[in-house]
Amino acid sequence: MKNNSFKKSVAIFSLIAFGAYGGLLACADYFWGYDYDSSFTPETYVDKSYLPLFFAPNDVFYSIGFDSDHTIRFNDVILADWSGYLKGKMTTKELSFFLLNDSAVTVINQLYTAIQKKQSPPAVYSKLNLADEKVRGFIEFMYHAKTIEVSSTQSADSWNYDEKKAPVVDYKTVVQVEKLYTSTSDAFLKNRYWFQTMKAYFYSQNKQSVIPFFEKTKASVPENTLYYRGLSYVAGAHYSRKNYTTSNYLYSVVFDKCPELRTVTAYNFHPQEEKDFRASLALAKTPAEKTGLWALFGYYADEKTAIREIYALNPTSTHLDYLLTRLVNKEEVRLNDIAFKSADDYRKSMKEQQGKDALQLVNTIAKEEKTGKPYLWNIAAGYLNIFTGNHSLALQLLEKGEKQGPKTDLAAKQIRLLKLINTLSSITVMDAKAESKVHPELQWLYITCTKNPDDTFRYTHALTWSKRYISSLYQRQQNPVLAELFNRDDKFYQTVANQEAMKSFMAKSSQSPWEQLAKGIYNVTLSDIYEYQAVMSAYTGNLDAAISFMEKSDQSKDAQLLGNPFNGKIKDCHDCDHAATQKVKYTKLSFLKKMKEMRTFVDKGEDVYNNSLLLGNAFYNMTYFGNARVFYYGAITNQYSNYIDPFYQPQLLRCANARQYYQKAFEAAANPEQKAKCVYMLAKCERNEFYTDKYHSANDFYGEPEVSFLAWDGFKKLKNEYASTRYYKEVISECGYFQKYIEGN
Amino acid sequence: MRYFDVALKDGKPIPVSPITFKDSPGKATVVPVIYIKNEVMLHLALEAEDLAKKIVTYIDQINTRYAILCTEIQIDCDWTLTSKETYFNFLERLKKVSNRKLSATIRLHQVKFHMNTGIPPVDRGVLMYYNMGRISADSLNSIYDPMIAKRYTGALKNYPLTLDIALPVFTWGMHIRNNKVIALLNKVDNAAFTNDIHFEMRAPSFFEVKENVIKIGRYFEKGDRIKIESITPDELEGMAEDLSGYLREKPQEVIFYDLDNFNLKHYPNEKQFFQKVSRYF
Repeated sequence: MKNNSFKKSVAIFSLIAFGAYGGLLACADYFWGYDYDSSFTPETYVDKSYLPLFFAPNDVFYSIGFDSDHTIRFNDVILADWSGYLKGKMTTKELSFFLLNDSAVTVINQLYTAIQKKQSPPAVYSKLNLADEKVRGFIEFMYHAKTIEVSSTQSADSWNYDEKKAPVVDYKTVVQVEKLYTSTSDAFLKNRYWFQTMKAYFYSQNKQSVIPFFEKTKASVPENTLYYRGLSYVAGAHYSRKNYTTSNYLYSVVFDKCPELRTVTAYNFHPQEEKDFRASLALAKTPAEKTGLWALFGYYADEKTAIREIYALNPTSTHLDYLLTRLVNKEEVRLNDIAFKSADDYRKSMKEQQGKDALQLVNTIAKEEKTGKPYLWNIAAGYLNIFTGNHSLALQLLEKGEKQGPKTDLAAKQIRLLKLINTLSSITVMDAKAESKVHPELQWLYITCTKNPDDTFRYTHALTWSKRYISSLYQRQQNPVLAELFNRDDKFYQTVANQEAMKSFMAKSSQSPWEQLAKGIYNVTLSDIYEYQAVMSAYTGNLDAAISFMEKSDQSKDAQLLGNPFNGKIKDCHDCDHAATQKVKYTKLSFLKKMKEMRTFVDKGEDVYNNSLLLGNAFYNMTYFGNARVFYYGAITNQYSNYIDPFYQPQLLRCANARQYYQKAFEAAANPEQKAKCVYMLAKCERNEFYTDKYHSANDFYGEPEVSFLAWDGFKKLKNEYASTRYYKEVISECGYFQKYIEGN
Repeated sequence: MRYFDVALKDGKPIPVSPITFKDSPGKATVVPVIYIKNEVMLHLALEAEDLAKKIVTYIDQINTRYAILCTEIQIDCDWTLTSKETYFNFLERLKKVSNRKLSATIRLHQVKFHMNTGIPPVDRGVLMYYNMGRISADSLNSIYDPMIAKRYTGALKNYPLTLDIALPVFTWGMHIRNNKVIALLNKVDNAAFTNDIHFEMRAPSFFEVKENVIKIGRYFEKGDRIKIESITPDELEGMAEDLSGYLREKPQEVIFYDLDNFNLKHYPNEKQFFQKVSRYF
């Protein structure tokens, strides 16, 4: 028997999805996208230096996953700085090579030696004017910087264990570079030698030595990017000796002042206990420093508290922007995950379960309009008020935010989406007025947005939610067709009334634009419904109806079956049947017609044995155990896996139809050979029923029964009554179960 | 002894958090355990032979640096039906390349459904007799649940690979918010919360957060819950007794995961105790 898919195995594996070494693994096998449960795109409003810190509960960092820019983060800045300094004395290509390419070290060493020995440069670099003070300064600087870099740019993914332990910067280098820092008068170079000295100390044998050097020199160093990079080393040195109070405080200063290092500092900020954070706060001397600390606290712990504190310290702080988007995203994700049965139920639970603190905080700050981006607060407040059910206030706030806010494409889409959610969730009855209100907006959401997908814009949740919401309204209004069109229900086609209602709808010559929209987003066709009716009729034995329905299914009637559906082998081997040469290739329709032809013979009493046996085989092969599963595959049945939905178990797992014809064949059999065959076929049915009762109908069916066979009645009869037939011998040689049964009895 | 993990980075397998020793463990013989994330085995372009060579070289480098002897390598990978073929192929290559005894961890479901999940081509398996339940906010224990164990242990008699046994000796916590587990708290026990006014024990092994607080490097919000899971000495003995009745053959080794100072303190007279547990087999 073929087990070609393992739908249920997924559930079983996920129970034991944890590695031996603890740590919460991301259990989700699939990434559904950030808009699976969100309709608020933070990228619309917040500076990109905060991007990795956006709310992403299943990732270390939003969008990037992990921070892997450690050795390349400042490449552009460094290149621009030196280009400005050297003013065309080197080409950008040369400069980029010297600064950013590891293999430049050989050439730099050669050039450095040439300078030291007052020789001319190697031929390739003959155009370089080593006599120029700035060029010379650059080469000398690079020589030392490359030496130190060996210790600081360890690649984390090396398969060389010996590389894991980075070589430390030796004392001689540290002294030399510090001396150069002290002696250099050129401000540009001096600043960079200062940074190199900081780096050298940090990567030396004594990491802590970076602290006194920084303390000694900090007052004379300009507070630029290099300064804050240097300050990160100081924070790191404190971290390494578990002085979390100071390290967290210093990281927060860097977070506040150096946007490029926001991801790094957020990663390293790590108060272990409440008292660590309180002590860090005590170290913060200025409102700006306190703001930085609260900004990281907001990321690490609690946005609401952070927003309150920062707002009191500096309402125009840009940190508020990203904290607000985190608050909104967190809130909507929590609310959007709540299941609802009806539109009323939805509105009620949103209102009840909404975080009152968050709403009040955002409402208050939006009202005061003291922040740097009042529009962001208005839009956020507008969105949160939708959940509350304050639809007119929500609209007012969204429109205000729209007027004040950026005029980008993304911003326009964001506002449009929020307004749509607001409008739709205020609707309690789907009438013509309501339809015309939301029609163009849904057209945009369902058609335009999906045709022009935008990786950033979060619209998927609104798409699925709106369908569910509208469907539930139609459900209440007892309009099952429109309810189904907006939200596909697996059970819908299980009643004939629904099948016919949908057929009438599909066949209607004039459909309103609203109905056309609904039909356009629905993925079942008229042909699928006819196919479904044909297949279900066939299982009831009504072949006339089955043929008549199948003839109308223009997309499925010619679908070919993979094997000969009239085969009745000793061993069920789908692959063998599918691979075997087939003179006639049956389609879903021709198969039904052939069955009908055979039944007419049986009814007339012509060649009853053969026709009944073949019909038995046909019905057998139409079940899950047979070679013609394709017959029941379809958009509506949707039974492609090993697990059969209980509704379809009588048709796909039971063997009643086949049994009936095998029995008929048995009764019409003319000799023991024929009878033996029928008895064995009945045994196969018996076996399938056993599998069904014991395994397939159980909820935790996995795919491989422990007990594979019993002493079926058919086995007993075959042994006791037909042991002298040729067929009996064939069964022994082909069917291992039967062989085992014979051996055991 | 866990040496390192293997995960994917930019589509390439890389070693993650390799072991470092403060002092060399001396002339000890150890069995390095390499945890390979299933994603590595699911990677379409995986070069099994290359990975096997890299792993062996890496192990050798660690052994050389710390003068460690090793005659066996153990691979821990929770393989799935889709990664089975690649994983087994990798194990075969590893066996050849390493020229050492090879063992692999086996989870309970892989025993029961071995007809589908397959038998890894190794010298021995190590049955991980823990982590059998779901990590969840309910009151069940995910480390060990006798009802779940029962569903699987019957299949041990028919499992063709020789098995050693790994039993759980660890305690961990779960940080629960809105009835969802949001983090595992490694090496955390009841004692961490009993004397902290921010937490209140509501039921055995369940604490509720009374006030927002940062603790053990995490932020706990008012209303969050913490569930502590552990295996008591009695439970461990029960597990051993129970399991021994189902094994086809006596295991050569009984491994207690994870014997460190934190976990050991939950088992008085540990040496005698663990010997006693081992004697059940």
